Amino acid sequence: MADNSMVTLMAADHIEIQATLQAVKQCATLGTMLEVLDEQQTLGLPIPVLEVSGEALKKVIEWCEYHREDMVVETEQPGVAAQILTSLPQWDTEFFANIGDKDLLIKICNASNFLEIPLLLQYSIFVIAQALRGKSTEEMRAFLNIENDLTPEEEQKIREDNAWAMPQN
Amino acid sequence: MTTYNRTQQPATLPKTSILSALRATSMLETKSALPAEVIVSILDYLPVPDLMRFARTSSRMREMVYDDTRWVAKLKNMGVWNDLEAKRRFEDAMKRKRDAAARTIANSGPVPFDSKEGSTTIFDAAIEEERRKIEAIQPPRQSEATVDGFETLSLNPNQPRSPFEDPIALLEVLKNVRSVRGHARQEFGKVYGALAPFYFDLAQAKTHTEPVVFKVFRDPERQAQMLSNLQVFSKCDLTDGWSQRVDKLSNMVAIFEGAVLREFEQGYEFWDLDGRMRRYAHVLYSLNGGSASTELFIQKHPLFNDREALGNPIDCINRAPRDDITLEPSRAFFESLLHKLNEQSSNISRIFPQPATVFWALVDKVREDIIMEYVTPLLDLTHDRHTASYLKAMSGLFEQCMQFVHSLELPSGSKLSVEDHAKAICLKVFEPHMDLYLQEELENFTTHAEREVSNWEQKLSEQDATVESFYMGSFNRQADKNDFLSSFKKVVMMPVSVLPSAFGSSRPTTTTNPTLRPPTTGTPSSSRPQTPGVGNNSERSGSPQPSEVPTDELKAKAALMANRLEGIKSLFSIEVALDLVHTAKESLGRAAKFVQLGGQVGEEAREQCEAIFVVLIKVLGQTHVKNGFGKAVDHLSRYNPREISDHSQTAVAPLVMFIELVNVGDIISQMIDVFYEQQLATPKIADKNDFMDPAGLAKKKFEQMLDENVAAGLNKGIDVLMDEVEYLCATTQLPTDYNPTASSHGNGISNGSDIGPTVTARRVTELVSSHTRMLTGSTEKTMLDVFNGEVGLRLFTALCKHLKRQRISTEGAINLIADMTMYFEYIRTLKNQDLLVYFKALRELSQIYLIDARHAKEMATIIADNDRFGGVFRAEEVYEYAERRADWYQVKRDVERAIQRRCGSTLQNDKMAKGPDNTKSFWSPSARLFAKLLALLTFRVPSNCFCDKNVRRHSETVSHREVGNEATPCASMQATQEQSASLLAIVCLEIPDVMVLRDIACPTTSDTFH
Repeated sequence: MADNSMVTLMAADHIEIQATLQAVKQCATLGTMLEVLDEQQTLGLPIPVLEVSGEALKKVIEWCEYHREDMVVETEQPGVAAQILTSLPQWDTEFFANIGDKDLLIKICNASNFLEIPLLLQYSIFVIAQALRGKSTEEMRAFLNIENDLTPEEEQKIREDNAWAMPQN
Repeated sequence: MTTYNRTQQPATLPKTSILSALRATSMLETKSALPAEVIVSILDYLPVPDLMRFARTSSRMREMVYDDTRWVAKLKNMGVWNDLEAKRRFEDAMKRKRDAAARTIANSGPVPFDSKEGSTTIFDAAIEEERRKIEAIQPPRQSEATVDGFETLSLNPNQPRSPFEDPIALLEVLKNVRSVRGHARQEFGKVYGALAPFYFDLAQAKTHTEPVVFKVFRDPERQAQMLSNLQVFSKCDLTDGWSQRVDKLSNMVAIFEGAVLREFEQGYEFWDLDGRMRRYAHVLYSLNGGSASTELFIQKHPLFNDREALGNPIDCINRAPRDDITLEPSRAFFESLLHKLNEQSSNISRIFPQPATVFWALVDKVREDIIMEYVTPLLDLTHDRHTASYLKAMSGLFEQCMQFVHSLELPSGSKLSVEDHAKAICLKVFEPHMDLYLQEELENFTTHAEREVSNWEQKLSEQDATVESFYMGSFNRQADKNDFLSSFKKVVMMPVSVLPSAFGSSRPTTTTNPTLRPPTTGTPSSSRPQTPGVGNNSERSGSPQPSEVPTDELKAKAALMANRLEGIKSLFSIEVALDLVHTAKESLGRAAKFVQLGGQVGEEAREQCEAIFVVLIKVLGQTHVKNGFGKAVDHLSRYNPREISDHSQTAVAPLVMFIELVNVGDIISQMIDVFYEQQLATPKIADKNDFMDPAGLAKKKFEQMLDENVAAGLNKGIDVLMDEVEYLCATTQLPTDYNPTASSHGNGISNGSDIGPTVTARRVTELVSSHTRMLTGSTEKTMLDVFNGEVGLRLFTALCKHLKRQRISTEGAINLIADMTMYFEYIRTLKNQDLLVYFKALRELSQIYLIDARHAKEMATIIADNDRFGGVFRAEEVYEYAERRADWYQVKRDVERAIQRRCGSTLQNDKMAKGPDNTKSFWSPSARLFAKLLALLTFRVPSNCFCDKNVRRHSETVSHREVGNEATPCASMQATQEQSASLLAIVCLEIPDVMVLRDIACPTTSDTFH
């Protein structure tokens, strides 16, 4: 089978997205699914990816298309922490810079987690961590859509407990 | 991933319209949150302050951030977390809790805080916890600040600038980290609070004067300490930009190190040991272990400047005689080196905080630059010049080097033992030479051994190789051998000295110049060709001492032994063997030194030691001893008594020679055994329990070879002995001995009127006994028993045969009885019960000649009396012997008649006695006769061929049974011949021993029936 044959993916909001098979195989989930199923029979049918919104899936596929030549990184050992990144490659930096919307970023992160694209997941985590850096607690909460369930007293206690980490304040 | 969606609360949304709830649901889909595992990985990228802010976002996030493993990992990165310690603390805490619980029950009251417990351990989580609780209950004196375990003075959040006020505490912060499960974050907090400000400050500094580190700490010791701490701390910094920070830090450290090193160097130039050198060595040590100062110290050490003063390796060759080597100069070299190094040892202790490391580094450098420069050229040179001196140099230098390292005066605090260092150093010095050395050692030994043996063989062939030997007189072999072996053992156990041994250099003179000791007993050796060494005879007649006074005990013994064992000199030489063993011992001693190195080299050395032993045994066994035995056996088989004119000696020369050979073989075998035990088994070179061990195998093979040769030789030896016996009987026994004429008594009788054994009997006894005696103690007891048994049986046969050739009168019977008694007495000394039966029968038999012709009836009684002869002779045989009576034809008729009368009754008595086999009494007379004949046949066959009684008895019963089954109904004389043949076949099948005799027996059978 030619590597550039096309596959249709269907996102949660019924948006159909065309992708090369090679790119799709960057996602371990889809790749495994295609291997298990008979490729000949499923070739023409759209693959439902209902857990991912069309917007996010589009970006994910965009990333996959760019990275389709890359080897799929094997990160099967959960015990071994993935290498700590220090910076992103040029293209990926731009890719993430273009996303703009933090919710979309989080969706991409989730999508890559769901579709098992280790490298994309690592990159998006890195980008999120970069974004979080230097933010105040409230900003972080907003960024990650975290619900605050702490009382102000508890919050104050944590602040005091860890005062050693903040020599400035 | 949906968890967070569910926990979303509409409370956070603006309450603007009634549709807000609906809108909120739709917004739920757009607002997504991240699953926990993703957030955990995000946290890995966040610096500590961000982490702490993040912890405040929600309780779940707080748990995530506070997770102990995250902080343990950070502490581990710095190398300050100890899993074992943590485990121990945890277990102690658990135990204490249980105890406390038990006490609570016992006291049924509140747990009193027991401060005594705290004094036993440094830190205790449970107590800590309790204390914390107590403090929490106490009035709010900084309650919130201390509630989480941050009671450390300097790190109190209320005193953020305290680190700079209490710098000493900062220096120690890394050392004070405790590994407590569940408290890793707090511990990390202490470290972070202490070091992070310096660290980030340093990372931002532009010049090396700027960082706060150098402002807070003014003296280099503390600066170094702090820098070292910061380097440790940098290992847990994994967030963005860490590489720049670490680079910056190491730059700073390098600048600092350079500056300190310059100070150290200046101090070095002025030899300011206790001042600047000591101070800056300590600074550098606390900075990064002080490798830079160690290197500098060693590199610039004056020890390496005056190398020439220590000695020139060539002296070892120049000062020694040609083709030799003296190790005195090298000893001096090592001594002066030792002296110098020991001086340095104390200096190093004064300067460095880690004297052992520095000292060994110095020694290693000395090894590389001085010792190897000395050893290598010396070894190369000796190798080119002369192998023997090379071998000596190699092992001598090795020993000196080992000695050298062992006598170094060590500064305290060495991690490895001196032994390990000595091994490592010697290994490095000698490893390049090892392969060559081991090969040379083996080759040298092999060539030496082969040369020795071939030299000796050549010398032998120059003499008359077929020289015949003679019996050297009776001396106590056993005692001599034991004596010899005990001195041998002493010598073998002596440690091998590297210096020339008495044995390696000069060979015993008796071997190179073989001399003969004239026989002190026995008859002159006129028949013996003269050997070249015979010219020296006069000078040492009667004295076992060689002309040269032996230099030590063993040599003397060897010379003595060689003299005693003159007889086998033409076959193999015990001195050659001794010499070989000694060379092997030297080689082994040299090579075995390297075994202690251990590892691969040690193993190779060990294998080579075994190889030397194997070669020794091969040369000694396969070529030397085996050839000797081969020759001796050859001589034996060529021996023909009829060709030898002189039979006056009491011994068969080749057999004596052979027996001597067996003795020497035994000595050599024991020598090898002692050697193996002492040189290989005791120092663990060869494993006695390993049956695949080459040395053990070779030894076993050697012993086996020896046994085989002895057995083969003895087999031949018996033939020869019996030939001689028969020859003696045939030639010396006069017809008148046993049948004296009325006028002249047999002149064979030594003294006419005296009654006693004839000369023949005396000679035969002497001949046989002398040979059997010679073997005593030289071979195994069992082998000896077999030999004696065989000799006795064949002597018996020979005598029977001899007897049938004689004609014996009543007067001569006295002589015969005397002879037989003599044989009997002799056989009794062999202590072999089975043999004794035969000779007893023979003695009884001889009495039939004494019976007067008038008593034919009595004679018949004796002939028919089976019990009388203990089953050795049957009536028929006795009858045959009776035919040898001089007056047989006069008494024949009477005797036969008497026998026939008796025979029937005896036979019937026999049958009755046999009990259960009653069927036989119903046999027809012809069948009975046939059975008797067969019994006779089967009896004679084994008795002629020395089958033992059991076989004979067995064949008898078989023949009885067969006859009973098959031949009874129609036993005619015609039919019996075929039957007897088949019967015989059956007998043969049943008793393999008889098998070989079938050919002899068959004609007899047919004769009988024709």
